[in-house]
Amino acid sequence: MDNFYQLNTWQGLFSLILTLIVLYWTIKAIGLLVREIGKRTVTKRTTILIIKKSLLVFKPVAMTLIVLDFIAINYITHSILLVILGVFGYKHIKNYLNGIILKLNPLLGKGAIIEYMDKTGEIKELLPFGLILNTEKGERFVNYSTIEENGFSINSNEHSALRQTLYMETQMSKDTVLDMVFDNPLLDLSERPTLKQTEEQDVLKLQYTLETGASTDDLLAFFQSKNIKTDLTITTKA
Amino acid sequence: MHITKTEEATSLFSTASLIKQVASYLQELEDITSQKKLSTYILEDFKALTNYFIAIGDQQDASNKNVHTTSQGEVYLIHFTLAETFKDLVLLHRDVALQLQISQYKDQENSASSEAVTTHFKKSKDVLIQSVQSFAKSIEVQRAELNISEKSAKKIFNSIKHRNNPWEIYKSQFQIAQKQLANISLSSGVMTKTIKVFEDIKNHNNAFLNSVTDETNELRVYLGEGIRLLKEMQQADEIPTVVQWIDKATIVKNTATNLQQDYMVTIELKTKMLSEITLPVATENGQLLTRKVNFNKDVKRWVDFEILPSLIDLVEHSQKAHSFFNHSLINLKTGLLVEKNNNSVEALQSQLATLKNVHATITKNADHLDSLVAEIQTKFHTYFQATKVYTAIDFLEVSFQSSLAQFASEQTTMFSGLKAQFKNRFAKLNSKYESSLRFQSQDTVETAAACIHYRMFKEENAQYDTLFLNKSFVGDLFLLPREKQETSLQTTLEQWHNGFNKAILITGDALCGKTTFINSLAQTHFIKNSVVLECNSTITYRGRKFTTSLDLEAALEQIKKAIDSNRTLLIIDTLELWRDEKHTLLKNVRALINFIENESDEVLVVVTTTPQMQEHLDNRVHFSAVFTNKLSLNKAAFSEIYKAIVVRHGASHKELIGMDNESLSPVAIEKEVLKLAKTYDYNIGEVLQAWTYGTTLLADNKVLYEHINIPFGDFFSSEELIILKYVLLYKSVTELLTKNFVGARYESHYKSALKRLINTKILLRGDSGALHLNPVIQKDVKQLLIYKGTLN
Repeated sequence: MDNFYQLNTWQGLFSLILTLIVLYWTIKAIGLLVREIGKRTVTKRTTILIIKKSLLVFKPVAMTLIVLDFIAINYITHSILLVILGVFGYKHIKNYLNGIILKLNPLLGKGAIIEYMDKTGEIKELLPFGLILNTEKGERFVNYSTIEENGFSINSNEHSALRQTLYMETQMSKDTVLDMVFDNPLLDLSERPTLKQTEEQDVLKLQYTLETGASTDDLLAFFQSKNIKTDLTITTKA
Repeated sequence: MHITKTEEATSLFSTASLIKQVASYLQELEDITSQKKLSTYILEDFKALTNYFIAIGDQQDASNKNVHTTSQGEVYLIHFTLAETFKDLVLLHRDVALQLQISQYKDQENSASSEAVTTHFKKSKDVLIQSVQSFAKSIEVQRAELNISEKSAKKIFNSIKHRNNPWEIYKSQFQIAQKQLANISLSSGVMTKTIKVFEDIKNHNNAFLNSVTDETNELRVYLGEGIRLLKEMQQADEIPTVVQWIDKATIVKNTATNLQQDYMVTIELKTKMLSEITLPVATENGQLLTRKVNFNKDVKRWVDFEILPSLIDLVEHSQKAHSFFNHSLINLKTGLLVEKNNNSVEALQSQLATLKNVHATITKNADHLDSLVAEIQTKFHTYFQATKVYTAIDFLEVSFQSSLAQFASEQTTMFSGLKAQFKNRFAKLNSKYESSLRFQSQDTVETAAACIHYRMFKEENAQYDTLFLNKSFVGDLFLLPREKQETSLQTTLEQWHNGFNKAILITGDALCGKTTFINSLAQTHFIKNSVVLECNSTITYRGRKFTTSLDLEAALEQIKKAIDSNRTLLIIDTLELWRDEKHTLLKNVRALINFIENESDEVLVVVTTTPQMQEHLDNRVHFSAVFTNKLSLNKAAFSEIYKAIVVRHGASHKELIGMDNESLSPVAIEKEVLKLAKTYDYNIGEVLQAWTYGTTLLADNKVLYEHINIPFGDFFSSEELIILKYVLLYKSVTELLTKNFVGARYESHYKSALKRLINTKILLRGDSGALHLNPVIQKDVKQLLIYKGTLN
């Protein structure tokens, strides 16, 4: 236990690293156990999510602790060393940290269509220092820093529920339309759909959230079967 | 020796008398004829001579301090020149004494030939004689040198004047050498005894080996005799003689096993007599090198590691030979008896051949035994000698390999046991893992199908299961009060009777007992004034008769018309059933809301639905806000669930038995029910249904209860999930409805999804053609949808 209290030694650093590794794997093992054992409940789902996020944050926090301990061993030499390293690695460190912050964002995930700086693409993979996008011109690697600095928007997400907008041309009243979609299991009614009159006559703007698993195409087909013309953008109004 | 007590006689302590003493010592030495005598002579007489020399030295030393009394020449001779030569003599005597002792031991142990011993003795004696002679000579030479001239003597004296007298050192060296001699003689007793024990053990070993080989040879002799008898046999009536011989021969017992035990015990006993000895083994300059040997431990270890394995092998072989011998003879005897009965000797030749074969095998075995015996004997002969301690190699060395092998084979309880256990466990785990892998790799659809099959109603158990499953059969006997909810209801009713406007919403998942609950409510509190509004049926209310469709608005209108001052209970069970294409659920619900808002002073409306539907409706209309009271029946108390099962089981008049064919005790039943209750979230109907999954009707009025948990895997595609969501909310779905929701996408995506759900019996088709969820997986599907976020 003495080592534990004397962290500013090489031995202390070693035990700190060991402890952090053990802790990391313990959290990971708990996550695995939770996933495999027990009933499928909402609590379980949230627990898994929390564990995933905490693991994501764990790495940089652990790294920071290790660096601090490293400095504590010999603060002058090691600080200088780290400053030098920091100067050269600043870009990468910043990029990595940006990546973690972005990954914490539930919108960002595999399959989401992301738009940034007039470029659009589907996220194919989330790497430690950047993401790979499937774009019209092929696969593209984008730094997390680029996205962080310029901002982004997620157009759609294959699986997770996202708010979407749809324009429809109909003479029906708003309530009638809402009643019509009430029965439809494609929509997630807990996120209430809103219907607004646009500046155009007979054009309604429907903002809705699809049920997990449902696709926009299904909904469009539904409206089509009810003889309602729909479009994803207002500009192509009939 | 005769000089020891003459210290006062100064004349005796001089170099002159020393010459005499040495001469007499030499003479006696030359007369010695045996090794033993030489040893004793050295140990006793030479000791005396040394003492004498020391005495002279001391005398000279004392007189040296008193310069006037003695001549300086004597001092010089004894202290400075002769002491060195005498020291050589002493060391030589010590060495010879030791070597003589060793040769004596070797002689005793027969590890050296007698000629060698004699030669050694002679050479030793010669060496001693030579050295004593040279010592005597050197005394004279030195004396003469001193007496050549005054001048030279003076020169010598001057030269030693400034030198320290080394006498004290010489003296102590002589004394040490004397002690060493004493040590050598001391060890002889123990060593002799040790050699005897070694001899004993060797003899014992030989006796054992001989007895084993003798036994085997005896077998060979017997067989030879048997072959002769068979050869001589001509007719069947001679068979009894042979049989008699066989009986006599088979009596021969194999004693090797017992002998082996005796052998070990005797060895143990004999080795007990051995002990640890510190033995002088060699000399180096002034030092006597000793070796600490624990004969007891070494012998035991050596026998255990080097001899025992071969010995066990030997005994095993001997046993094998014996049992083989016995079996063969008994076979022969049986054959002969058969022949005797048949009165023929036809098979004789083949029997003879067999017997010869047996003889050959036994001979082969005996050869092997002989080689083993020879091996053991060689080992004993080459290594098992006490005098081996004097050699440079390790005494009774046990090779590392054999000791390790022995250790591993002996420690079955520890190492190999542990290893075997570990191996065993690992193999078990591995096979478990593999089987679980196999199970996992099975298609999830298949497992789900297996799960449904296991749970679904089986005709052969109908007699018992229907008691638990039949919904409409609500006899008073089976009706169990839901105390908590009833008390709450009671209060509401009282308030309503007192003029408060009330409407009650009862929520609960499927099977949780909503219908039963409100039916009992109607029966206990509103025997006459209650009406149950059902779709597509004929309702009689206050003498009016009207039929209902799926239009709730119209039905409520009818009720409205008939309302009088008598307060009425209006029950709408399962609200979500009121819907069709024309009269959507929303429309009907709006009508209901309207009705409640206007008529609740006269009519107490009780509506049942699922919590999911309630939430769903709340998303569009202010549904739950209309109701003044909301009751959830989702969970029942455990005591209620337990009672429900026990009452139903009791009605079956059958005995419930467990897997072990033993009758299940009430405690065991309670345990099982609790397990189910926990799994099914205390939903009473689900638990009752689940109870039937594990029951099998047996003969003689018994019911076997065996709960197997087959997991219901998630294999649903996103389209299927959407369909299931709808079914869970609205109770039923049809192909047409699905088509309505997804339009043109139905053909391409949803049609096959729906088909698959039907094929896997997730959805069952009812009488009306509508599809509803299989009740046995209701809970699993609901849980899955909530987990996936499709339902709330």
